[in-house]
Amino acid sequence: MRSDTPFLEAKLEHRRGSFILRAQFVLRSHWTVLFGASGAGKTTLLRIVAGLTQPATGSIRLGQNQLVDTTHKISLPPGQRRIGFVIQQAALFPHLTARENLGFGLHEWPRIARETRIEELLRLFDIEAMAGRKPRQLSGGERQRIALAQALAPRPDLLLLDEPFNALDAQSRVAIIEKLRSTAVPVLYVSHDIADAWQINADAIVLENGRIVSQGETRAVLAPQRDQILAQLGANAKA
Amino acid sequence: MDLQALSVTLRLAAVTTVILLLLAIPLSFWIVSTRSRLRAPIEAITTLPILLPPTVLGFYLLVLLGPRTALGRVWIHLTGHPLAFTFSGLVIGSIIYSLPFAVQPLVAGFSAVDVALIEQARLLGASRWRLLRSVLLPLSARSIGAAALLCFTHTVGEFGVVLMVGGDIPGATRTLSIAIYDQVQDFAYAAANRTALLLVVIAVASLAALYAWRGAYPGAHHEK
Repeated sequence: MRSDTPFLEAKLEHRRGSFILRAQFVLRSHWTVLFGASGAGKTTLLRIVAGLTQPATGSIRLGQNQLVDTTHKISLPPGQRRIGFVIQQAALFPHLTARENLGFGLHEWPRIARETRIEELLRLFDIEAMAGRKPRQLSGGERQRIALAQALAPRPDLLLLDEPFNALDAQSRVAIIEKLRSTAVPVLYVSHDIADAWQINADAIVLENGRIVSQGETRAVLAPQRDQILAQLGANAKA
Repeated sequence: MDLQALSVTLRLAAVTTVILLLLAIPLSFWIVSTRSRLRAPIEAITTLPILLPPTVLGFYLLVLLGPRTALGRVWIHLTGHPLAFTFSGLVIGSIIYSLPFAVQPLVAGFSAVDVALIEQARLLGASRWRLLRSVLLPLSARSIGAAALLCFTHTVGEFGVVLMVGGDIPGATRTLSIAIYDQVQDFAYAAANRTALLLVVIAVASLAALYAWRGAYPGAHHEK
């Protein structure tokens, strides 16, 4: 799903030691893969969009909401950005059950609406049977599904995924991505795995050393990286 | 056994512990979450009672609570008597004296909570109050228990500050540690021995409870 009007527009600069992240991009596609090698600045970019890291300069607009505008000293706190964020190691509250974890972001919802939303997500991610368990009683894959449901619970306008499927097998990964696609929540998905990114029908942004070097339809944008890998595999096979 | 002194001691330790926790929890939360330049001096001030001789602390408190300061005069105006040599004065002295024993375990406990959980709570819209109540406090239960036990035990055993601020008034400010001093002055070594043994039992029981609890919940901060 792609629209002509971008739902996220970002232009930002951030410095950490000698590393400089300078990025300008828009999101139009329902799914966008943020592709780049380790250390390219993918996680930093996501953290800035989420509000967990402050950029030195820049502006970020999500739909009608101005999240950041350093010129006018605007910076919405993370909880007011309507953004869900799931990281590699599911950040679930260890003292709460899976159900309570899902309800954490629905604190101010009316009780019936909150319960309905929790049940809906438990069903969507097939985690009803483990609703009463605490994170330590769950497998890595189960915890990751609960973390996704937790992030989706408050109906965010954007979901940021920082390689949350690394620990999952390919089949589970595809199943979860299908479930996420069914929610219609736009996703910005970080990956450093070309095979993973290639299979997702989406837009892609390629980040190298803190700079965006290309953006567009996944298979067009990632073709050079794919060709390079195939060439290397071919060379290795001949050798 | 000086039952009056035992009663004063336990009452003082209980009141001090409750008030200290109420003060130290928000203070420790501020210390771990602030970027203010005041953090370092405030932390230093809260730790100072560990290094200062109790008599120095007691002396300054005696002056501060007396009629020569504005605080002392306001108290006298409100209550009709000075804070020094009263149970209330003793509570204030004990709170200041035991402050580091509450703040340090709490700061350590709050700091040990996984940053990813704090960030997740913020992303899910938690206010600072909810972050403290629903995330930091439950995940720092062991540190809160340690702070409470240390405050209680430290207050039970304090001597210098109590003597300076409270004096030695039976039923009002004479605690077990002062009673031992009096008993030794009167050559009542058998009574002093019983009182000292009671203090040892309280200290050992508190530490045993602390370590048993730690053993029951190992690594509680890091479970995920």
